[in-house]
Amino acid sequence: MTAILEIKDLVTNFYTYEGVVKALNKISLDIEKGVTFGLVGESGCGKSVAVRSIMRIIQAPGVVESGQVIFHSNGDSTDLLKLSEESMRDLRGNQISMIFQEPNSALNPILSIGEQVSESFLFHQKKDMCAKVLANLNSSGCKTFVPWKHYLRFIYQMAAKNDRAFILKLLSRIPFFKWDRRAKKEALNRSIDIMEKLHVPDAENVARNSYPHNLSGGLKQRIVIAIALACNPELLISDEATSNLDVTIQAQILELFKELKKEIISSIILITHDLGIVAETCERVGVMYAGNLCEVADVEMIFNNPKHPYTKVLLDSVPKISQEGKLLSIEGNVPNLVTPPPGCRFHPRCRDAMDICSRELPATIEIEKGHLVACHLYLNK
Amino acid sequence: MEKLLELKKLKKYYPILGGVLRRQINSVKALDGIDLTINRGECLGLVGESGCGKTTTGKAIIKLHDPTEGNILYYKDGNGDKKGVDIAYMKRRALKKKGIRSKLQMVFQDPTTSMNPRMLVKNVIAEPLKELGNMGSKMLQDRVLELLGLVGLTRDHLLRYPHEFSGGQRQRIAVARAIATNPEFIVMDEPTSALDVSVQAQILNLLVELQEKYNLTYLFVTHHLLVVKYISQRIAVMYLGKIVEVSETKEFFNKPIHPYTHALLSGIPIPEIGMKRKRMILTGDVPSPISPPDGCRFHNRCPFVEERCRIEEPLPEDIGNHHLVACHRKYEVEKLFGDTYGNSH
Amino acid sequence: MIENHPRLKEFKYTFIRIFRNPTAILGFTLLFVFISVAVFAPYIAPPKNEDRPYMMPHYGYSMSPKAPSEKAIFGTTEGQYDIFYGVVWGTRTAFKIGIYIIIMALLIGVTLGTIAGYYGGIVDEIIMRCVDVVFAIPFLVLAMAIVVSFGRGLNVIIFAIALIAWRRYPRVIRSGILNLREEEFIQAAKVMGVPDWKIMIRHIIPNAVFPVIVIAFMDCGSFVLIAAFMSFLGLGAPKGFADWGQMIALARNYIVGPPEAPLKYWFTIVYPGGAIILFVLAWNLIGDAFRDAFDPKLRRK
Ligand SMILES: Nc1ncnc2c1ncn2[C@@H]1O[C@H](COP(=O)(O)OP(=O)(O)OP(=O)(O)O)[C@@H](O)[C@H]1O
Ligand SMILES: Nc1ncnc2c1ncn2[C@@H]1O[C@H](COP(=O)(O)OP(=O)(O)OP(=O)(O)O)[C@@H](O)[C@H]1O
Ligand code: SF4
Ligand SMILES: [Mg+2]
Ligand SMILES: [Mg+2]
Repeated sequence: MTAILEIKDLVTNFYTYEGVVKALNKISLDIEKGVTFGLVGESGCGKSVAVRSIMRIIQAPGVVESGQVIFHSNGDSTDLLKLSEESMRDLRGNQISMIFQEPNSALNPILSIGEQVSESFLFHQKKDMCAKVLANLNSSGCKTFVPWKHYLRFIYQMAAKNDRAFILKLLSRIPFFKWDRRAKKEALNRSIDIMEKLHVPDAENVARNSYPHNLSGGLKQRIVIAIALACNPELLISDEATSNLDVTIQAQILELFKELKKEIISSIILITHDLGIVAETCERVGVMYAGNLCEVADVEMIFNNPKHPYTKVLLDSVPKISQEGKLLSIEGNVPNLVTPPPGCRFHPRCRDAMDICSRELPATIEIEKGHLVACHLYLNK
Repeated sequence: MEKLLELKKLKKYYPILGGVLRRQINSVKALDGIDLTINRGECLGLVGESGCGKTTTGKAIIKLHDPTEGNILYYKDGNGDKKGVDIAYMKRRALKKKGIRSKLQMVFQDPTTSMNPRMLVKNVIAEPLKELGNMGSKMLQDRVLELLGLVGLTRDHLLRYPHEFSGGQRQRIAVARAIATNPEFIVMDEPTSALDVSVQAQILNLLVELQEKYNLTYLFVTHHLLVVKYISQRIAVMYLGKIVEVSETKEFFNKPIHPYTHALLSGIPIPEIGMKRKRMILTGDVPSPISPPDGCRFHNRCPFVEERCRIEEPLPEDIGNHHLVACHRKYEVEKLFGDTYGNSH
Repeated sequence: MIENHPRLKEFKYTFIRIFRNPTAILGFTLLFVFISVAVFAPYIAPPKNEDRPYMMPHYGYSMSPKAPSEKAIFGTTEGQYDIFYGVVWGTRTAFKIGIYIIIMALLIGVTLGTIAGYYGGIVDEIIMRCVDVVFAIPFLVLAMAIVVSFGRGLNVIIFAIALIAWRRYPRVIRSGILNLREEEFIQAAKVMGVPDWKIMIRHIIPNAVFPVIVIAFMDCGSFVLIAAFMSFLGLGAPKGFADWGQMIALARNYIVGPPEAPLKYWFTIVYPGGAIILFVLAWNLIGDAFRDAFDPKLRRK
């Protein structure tokens, strides 16, 4: 399988007053094409920081220190960390999209739902849409006042080539020369289409007449997903996008992810606390602990044959459907990332810790095909 | 089984104010007549979708607000109290005077917001004790230390602010505060949903341990069904201000009846491999509690709806084994479900 | 042991955070200077008349101000009052005005706001409507009306301003309380059976009062300015009293000098005027610094 994203030795630090928070400690990870990748781990272990580093949206005191994030798309490979801010911005919507936990913060309360989804289309797919409008204008069925039609044809020809031309922007502000109504209409149509695909009930009405406050949490999250999908991303990152939703709504959204992966997106990175979601929707899983990636493997391997001691206790600490007796829990607390424990960061809480664990950071090795573990227990053998 | 609390036709409507003079123009029917019995020493799980009134129920029982209608009977310990006191409309002062206040406690969902950020942990835990009165400062200090020990914290933690703790530790402090006054009954309002999995296990184990030690009774509100399975003996399912099903935990998972319960069960993501099943995905959204639908409240999302459901409201009925269900088609659902989705939970 | 006490640690953090902010340092330096001047006034400018130190000494009765000289280093103003002496002792007056007004205003405002916010309903409605009424009348007009009806004088000005100045606080504190009332820790306290008044004192006021204190700091400067303005209008301190506003009032006719030298009497206005501006600035900067420092949410970071 070919990778869509290769992360190599990514290091991200936060420079705070209490010291340097070493949030990511040389993470290396491949995300394959066509795979739903689950990223799990305790709160504060650096899951969000990892994907934010990939997207280059780390907030103020955070700095991506070193490493590579190589994105493979249509045959080219680009190192996202070296890209200019401008091309990164293009890429962020076009090829990689991200959904956050809180749908409210992603939606503007004063714009209608349709406008918000359309906006995303207009931003990312204007050329394509202009070409479509142009085709409509050229088709014989189009009845418009002829000089106006010529004007529009001319403009849309231009727009289909370069949608950011200054003259186009200018003209769209001048009365009687406003040309972009058709493009907007096209965007709205596409928005309604995508919302229907996402099973938004009565999508047309919702798009035209609803505002964020009219919608329930599950619907809002679906609108956010629609916005994220507007540009046909190849990679979708969902940072706990379903954590705030109800079981029944969450089930809807996860089902939706599965469907989407069949049609639109190629890979998904799914961050979650809920191992159940991972078991049901992901094909590969990465387990993080305190800024380190401890284990990466296919879901079956992780759940049936976990290797890293942290993965083992993590699995033991969730209630199962067939749970009998006491739950096992991990003793101790999450380490402070300003002064992380030396060696393997998990050793103070590990049941199988050895001497060497407190001294050396274990290297990551592949113990069977596609099963990577970073633990001293498997290093010597 | 000895009753501890009994809710009778409990209603809670939150007024919606509006218009020029801020008159009441409508109301949110958060609880619309629920009957529920809570037995001494059990943990009753209360599950349901967001906004269905779980927290409202909990708050009504511990008297954070007065219900609009209905009764809450409290059967006090020991004195063979067969009648129970109605605490539904009791004033807060009277409650305190009769010694009921300290017997009903609550642990809130978010340990970050449930403690005053400007108070030291010592004072946070001591606060309910001070309200009991008659405790010297030495005794108070000792009791606080004892409580900290019970929830697995130490003396070092005494002089710190809540924000200096991790979420799990903070929730431990919240639990310590709730058991400080030797309560009989504690409402746990999603005590683990702000915590992550490994910490959740610690807290759940702590709660079980404390329950056994002090014969506590819990109302455990959550929407995580596997958690509720682990901790409770009975489970009640709420939907839009009504209780739709109450049964023992085993029966709940083995023989669910109400279509909504089925939907909940098939919605839980199971953290095990090889449990693939056909899911029952509900279509449509939760209706607004301001104008709940007529008939069965679930009818606009129910896959087994029939004409009668739209008109007539189903009442909770015992189908044996203390298993209450409110559904017109309660005797057919099992078969219907099997036919549509295959027989596997 | 003692340096590890959490309250001290917290205090230290607050302190560090305040002094990371350069404008705060400027503010505190200014305030420190003003405080020192106020405290050491008798040494900096020894009073002529021990019994009435607030009266500025004057060197003659000539109307036109005299430029700074050996004798009066800031010069003299109309009536030969010593500007230097006035500025120094005026600092004390300014502090007195600012602090008295703020304390009175806070007492009234916080009490009303807390009651309105906590009890809600009809009590809230009545109190907030009263606040609206007070708000509807322009500040100065109302203050002057009060002064005129009670007779002039510095104390009357303080009283008058305080009677209006509280009007901003109830709104701020009420909205803080309305948010707090829904907070879980307030509900937790109720479940524990803590009576209302204790909840108010222990949980609500400490968490809601900080925004008000920040505003109060900022206001402190502006109230001094308003008091100065009223003195300027002749409603305040008697002639010759060491009060910056009153000194500017004395300079009223000399703000613009004779046509051939319009800036001739600059010292009559620059010294007292500058003192007022710096004083207001100091409070504003400090208020700003406190706003950042008191925010418990920022503190968690
Ligand atoms: N803006 C910031 N300033 C300082 N430290 C930060 C900042 N953002 C994150 N961190 C630190 O980086 C670490 C990783 O945080 P991150 O948000 O990635 O955790 P997470 O795994 O996403 O947790 P959760 O599951 O709670 O979302 C944490 O220890 C956190 O303290
Ligand atoms: N103070 C209030 N004023 C008005 N409406 C309220 C108030 N509190 C709750 N409600 C409404 O009452 C209904 C039930 O709320 P409740 O908090 O009990 O739900 P819940 O089951 O606890 O949900 P969640 O799982 O989201 O906590 C909701 O529709 C809610 O909007
Ligand atoms: S009463 Fe009817 S609508 Fe309601 S749950 Fe039963 S079958 Fe469905
Ligand atoms: Mg995160
Ligand atoms: Mg709730």
